[in-house]
Amino acid sequence: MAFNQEQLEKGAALFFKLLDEQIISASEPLAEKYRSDSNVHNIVNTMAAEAGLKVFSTARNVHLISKARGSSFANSYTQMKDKYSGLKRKRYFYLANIIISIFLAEVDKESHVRIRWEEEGVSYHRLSDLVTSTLESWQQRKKEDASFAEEWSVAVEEVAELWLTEFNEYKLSQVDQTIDVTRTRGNRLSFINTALKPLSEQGLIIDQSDELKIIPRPPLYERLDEIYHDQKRYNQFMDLIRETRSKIEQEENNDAQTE
Amino acid sequence: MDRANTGLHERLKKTEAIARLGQGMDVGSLNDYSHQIALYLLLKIFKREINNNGQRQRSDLISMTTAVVKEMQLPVKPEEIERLVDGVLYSGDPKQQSYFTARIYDEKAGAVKEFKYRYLIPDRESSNWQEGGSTVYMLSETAQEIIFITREILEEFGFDLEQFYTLQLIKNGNFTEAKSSVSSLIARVRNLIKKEKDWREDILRNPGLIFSAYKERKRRTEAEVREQFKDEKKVFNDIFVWRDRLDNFENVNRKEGELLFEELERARSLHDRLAELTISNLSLELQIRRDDPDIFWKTSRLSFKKDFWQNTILQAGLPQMELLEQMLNPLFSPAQDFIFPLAWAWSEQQLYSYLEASEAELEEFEVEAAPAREYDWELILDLWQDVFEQLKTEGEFNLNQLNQLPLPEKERWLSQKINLELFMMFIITDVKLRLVEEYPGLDERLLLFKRLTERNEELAELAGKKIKAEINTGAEKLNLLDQFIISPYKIYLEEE
Repeated sequence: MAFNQEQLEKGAALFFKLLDEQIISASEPLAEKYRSDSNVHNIVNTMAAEAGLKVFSTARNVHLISKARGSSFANSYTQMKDKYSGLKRKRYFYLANIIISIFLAEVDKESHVRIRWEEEGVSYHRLSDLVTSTLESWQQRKKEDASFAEEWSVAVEEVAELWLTEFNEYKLSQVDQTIDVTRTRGNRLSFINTALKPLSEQGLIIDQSDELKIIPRPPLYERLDEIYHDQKRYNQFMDLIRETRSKIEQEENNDAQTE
Repeated sequence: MDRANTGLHERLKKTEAIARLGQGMDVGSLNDYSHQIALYLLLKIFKREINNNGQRQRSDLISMTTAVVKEMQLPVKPEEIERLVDGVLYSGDPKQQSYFTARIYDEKAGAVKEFKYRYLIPDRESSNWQEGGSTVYMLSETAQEIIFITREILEEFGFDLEQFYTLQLIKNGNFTEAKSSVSSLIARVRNLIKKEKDWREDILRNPGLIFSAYKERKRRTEAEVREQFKDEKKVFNDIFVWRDRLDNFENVNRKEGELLFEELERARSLHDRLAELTISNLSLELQIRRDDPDIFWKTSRLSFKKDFWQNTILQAGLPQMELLEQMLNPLFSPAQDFIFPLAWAWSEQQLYSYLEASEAELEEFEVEAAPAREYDWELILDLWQDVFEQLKTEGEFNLNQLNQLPLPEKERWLSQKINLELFMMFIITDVKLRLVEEYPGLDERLLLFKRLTERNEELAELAGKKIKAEINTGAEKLNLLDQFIISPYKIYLEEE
């Protein structure tokens, strides 16, 4: 890759700007350079790859995101994971992941249809109902189908215990008797607020906690398109599932043999 | 010949929306009037919308409704009014914030289709969500149609006709009628402006629409659009000629005439804004077609909703809960407060080349050809010898070990810029140590290694080993006198 000093500097400058701002508008001169100059493009992508990151551009923005694994960077999501590390608190992180996934599934669209994102807000109550019904349907599946993933079912039980039994639906504010999701703990709606915080802190959603509504923003759709509407990544994820499954089976076999 | 069912589906959508407005909820003493109150509320909101009045939050809707109920001399009960407002905002249980849905027969498909709609939708431009503002609502197209239909204006009644209608009314001195016609003119332009803005969002998100739209509704060429705006502008000018003739009218309210023309002035400037937007959208389309032709080939039909979630995880779970994390991780960007060594190094570089560029024209040159700098190699080797010896004995070196050095030592490290660049190079990429002849442009890490082995032959044992770097999360950052700060990396040897 032969490139000149100027391209190297432009690439480095863009990379650091992205580290700083995460998303930059496609109309910025550096972003235009990224789209039009293949050397700058490659330099930025290489720097990102070395750091376990990925850069992609859309007609509107250039994004810097983490990779599935191997990124050593901390962010509000990994901070959440750290907070809920440890055997007992792990189920909180599981639950948060389930909430994020259900929210994404709720706002995602099956094809590149037109989206009036501001109309796609999901209410806290609806999300809460969906989490409940999802957990219950997994519990049900386990009863009906003995082959339903064992490890998963155990984790689901832990999470269900937390969500269905330990959590209240919500708590009221002490000031004005309205539902308070930001200053209360240990209830479903406040945990939705906690679980989605990494998304709101990265500007991917607007968390209208007063109106108990979560509104997706365009950058979230751009990331959904890039990450989950992609055949290669889908295959990778499916491979990962298969690998993990066969690894678990192998371990079980080994255990059986040693017994 | 027209068949009786032509356009049935579209008509049914409208009657459905009218029929269900303000219905299907229990608002106690207001039950018999809920539809009327709801329509009145829509009209009030629409009025504020046209007047650029942003007081259209839920709390405003409640006070508007209270005013309506008072005016109608019905009993004012806050919980009933709140329920009614929520019943216009959402279908069913307000907590769910659901759309209104209806299954409506579609004569073209010969089947029943689902119709989802709302009466009120968030006005994203007035809402100020980013500053923590509450949602400001506006009429959806469906709700606007209800208002237009009840004003006996057909949807086909275009902008230009409305203009001529206004002109005629003014000529006849019918200012009161003309004013409401101007309101509708403004509503129409605003509608078109919103459509252009939405279109812009749409094609930025999915450029493929540019092609399908050509088939679907035959986008006009720029020349045609310009021509149309020119015509409409001319009609505005024709109308404004009558402003100067206000004095010649007999038996008219001059004050009302003045107000009318003020409104028209607003319509005209909105119209100019529309023209600007439309033209800039056309050039955006052109630019996308030219710059990103490959975008049109992206036709993945996969989605998170269907493929990752519904058909996989929701149905069968995952072998391990941890996989959810790997699935979600790429959604997030690295945190802002992270400090990367390159930032510092490159800011120096940039300053350097900036000075260079201001003196002479920027030439293209290979990176390797960067001008040689004066290094104090004796000093450099002194410092790095310890690092490499530790690598040899312990297999790793934590950068933050340097924090423990006495002040003069730290200054020695800082005195040679290349030290910091070397750290940065070790962190950014792996390197396999080899003994090679020196040549200009040789990787500076290998140069360092070569010279170190010349001083201390034992270090040559390291040849063939790979040096890698990883971050030691949670550890203290390397900080040399606040001049050089990097995240707590360690460099370590990897056996072949």
